[in-house]
Amino acid sequence: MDFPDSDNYKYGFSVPERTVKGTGRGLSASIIRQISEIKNEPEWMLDFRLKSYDLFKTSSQPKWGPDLSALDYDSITYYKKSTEQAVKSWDDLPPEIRETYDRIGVPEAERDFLAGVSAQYESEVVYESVQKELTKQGVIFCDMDTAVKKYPDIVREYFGTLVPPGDNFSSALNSAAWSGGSFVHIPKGVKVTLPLQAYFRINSEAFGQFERTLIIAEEGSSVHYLEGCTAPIYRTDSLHSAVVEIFVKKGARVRYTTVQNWSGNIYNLVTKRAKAEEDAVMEWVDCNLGSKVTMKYPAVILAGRGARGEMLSLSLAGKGQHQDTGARMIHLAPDTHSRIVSKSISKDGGRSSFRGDIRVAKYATGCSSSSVCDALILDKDSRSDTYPSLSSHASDARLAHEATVEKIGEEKLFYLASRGLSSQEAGGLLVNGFIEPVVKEVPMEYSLELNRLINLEMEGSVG
Amino acid sequence: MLSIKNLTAAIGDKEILHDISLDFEPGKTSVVLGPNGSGKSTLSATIMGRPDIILSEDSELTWNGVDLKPLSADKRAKLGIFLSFQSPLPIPGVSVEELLRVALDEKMDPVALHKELRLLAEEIGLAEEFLTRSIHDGFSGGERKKIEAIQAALLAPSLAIFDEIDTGTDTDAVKRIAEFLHAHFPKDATRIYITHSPRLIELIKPDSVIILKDGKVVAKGGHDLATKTIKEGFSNIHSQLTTHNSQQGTA
Repeated sequence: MDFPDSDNYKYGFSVPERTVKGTGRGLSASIIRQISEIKNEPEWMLDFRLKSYDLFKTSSQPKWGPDLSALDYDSITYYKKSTEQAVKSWDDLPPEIRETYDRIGVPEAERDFLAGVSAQYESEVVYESVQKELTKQGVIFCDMDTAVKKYPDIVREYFGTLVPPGDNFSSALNSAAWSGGSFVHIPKGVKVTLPLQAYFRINSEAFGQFERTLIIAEEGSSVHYLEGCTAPIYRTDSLHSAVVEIFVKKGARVRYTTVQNWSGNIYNLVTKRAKAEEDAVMEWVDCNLGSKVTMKYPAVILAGRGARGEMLSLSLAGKGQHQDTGARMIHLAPDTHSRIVSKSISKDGGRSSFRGDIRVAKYATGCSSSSVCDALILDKDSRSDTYPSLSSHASDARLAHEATVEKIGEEKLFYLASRGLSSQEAGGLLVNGFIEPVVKEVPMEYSLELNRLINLEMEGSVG
Repeated sequence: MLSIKNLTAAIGDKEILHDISLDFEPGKTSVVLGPNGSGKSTLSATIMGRPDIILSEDSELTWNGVDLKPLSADKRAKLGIFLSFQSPLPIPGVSVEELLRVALDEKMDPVALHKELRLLAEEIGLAEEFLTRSIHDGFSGGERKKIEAIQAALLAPSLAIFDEIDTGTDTDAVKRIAEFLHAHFPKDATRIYITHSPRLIELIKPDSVIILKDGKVVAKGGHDLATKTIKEGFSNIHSQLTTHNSQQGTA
């Protein structure tokens, strides 16, 4: 069997499995009770899970989009806890887990440029740390399970309100089986300058990771949340299904950056939604490089006058990969503005799809939205599709959509060759140039990694 | 020396250049003149090695004795051959500095390159922003040609072909570019200019002039041939075909 990406994928290693607690394979009401009991959850959360599970059982997978028929829900293990509790020092982690994060470079990134780190391994967060200064300012950055117990009032007010369990099959599954993820609360007026980072790692085979993230940025605050994810390469498939809900209050600003680099055996089904109130700014920077199948269409609900929503999307679909991504901008309030920039690359038979969905409500006057979707197709076996959907009930909305599809032009390659660049160097430069509008928005430490990954992927693709 | 013998070149089914024989000596400056569609740009692209140009079996193309025919354009560039494009395409997201960083990877460190580029831009009269913006993207004719000239200076080729380095530039810029190239090129480099500009020809003072028409060399001569051709037009050249074409000589 030939693994997607296996030649170039640096994070495909695994370490011996470690489980202090876990469930058997498959999902049932009793397994959900078991998960809730291990977590020692309040009754309301168990109810939420069980109701969600009922919704999941009656839900169906979408009739559109990627083929999910090979996804076997019964072969997956839904919960696995690898350490007794989250630690605050990398040294306190079991050596094999510590080594995993060292190889990925998380502790190094933390030292260099992060304000806080949360590292999830299988189902639970195993490490979390936030700068003392931020804690003093009242910033909360902890795993979601801790938040349910420590901050139940805030959690109950927001949890599952933006992405209700019944939203879609994957949000129902996540709501039933969720574990880990981040809870972020930024008090009024607090501006967090360095990014907070969550790192998600799956180590086991045939595993399901269902993290749940809730971010609340109070009035006038700002935060940049970064997430990264990797997994070992296995012959069997694993599932990652996350739900992310973000509340951006009046005048606040949230940027959520994802560098998704799952191994080629992961189904990545994610529901992300943000609500932006008056003059708030919500920016998604969504980079999808890995996984077997990704389905992810982050949304911004522009609910207050003057709110802005942005999506910068980058996807790379290589051999055996289908990146089905998109963005949704829902203009509910007047004078709201949104922008979508999508760059996709398809190669070696990979397929990328981008679904842009812009809606403007009847009384939302003075709104504008622009979308630019550029696709680069590197060979004849690969495919790219753009599915724009624009609908406005307001008479004066200015909506613009532009889509381009290009192949790496012979003429540009010849120009670069005349400067002495080999076809590989030229291809790498052209592709990096193509994705530059998105990559430049990613923190430098990650943009270098993105460029490196793209260069690796380009080996042998051009010329 | 660049030596071209019995060169016949086609793009697809269309033969563009017919049985061309020319020699270009080291240290000499040549001008190729000809009406639109005469094959001038195809000739320069053939020398550089554009992959869609197909040469006939008996075509010969050598540079200092090395057969160029089997070599791709990047390998020819590594041998010191450079082509300045007539209308280079914009490359989104790639600046001239990034391009040169890759091209000069082993020859110049990025810090030195950064410095040198700025000095050259100042000298040729180009604002610094054009070094870091996407190359040729929204640049005026003059800005494009200056960027091409700066690359020529940094890559220091031993054979440089300038395909209409003057087109789209004002007279001041032509002078500036010509002086810049003169200052930055080693004496023994071989230079080939494709141009329509009497002003550029005056500035570069070519050692030899070649007239190309319908894909054939119809006349060769010195500086005065250029002056005469520009004055009288290409239509009179045909009559010279027999006299000049029979001569075997170096351009």
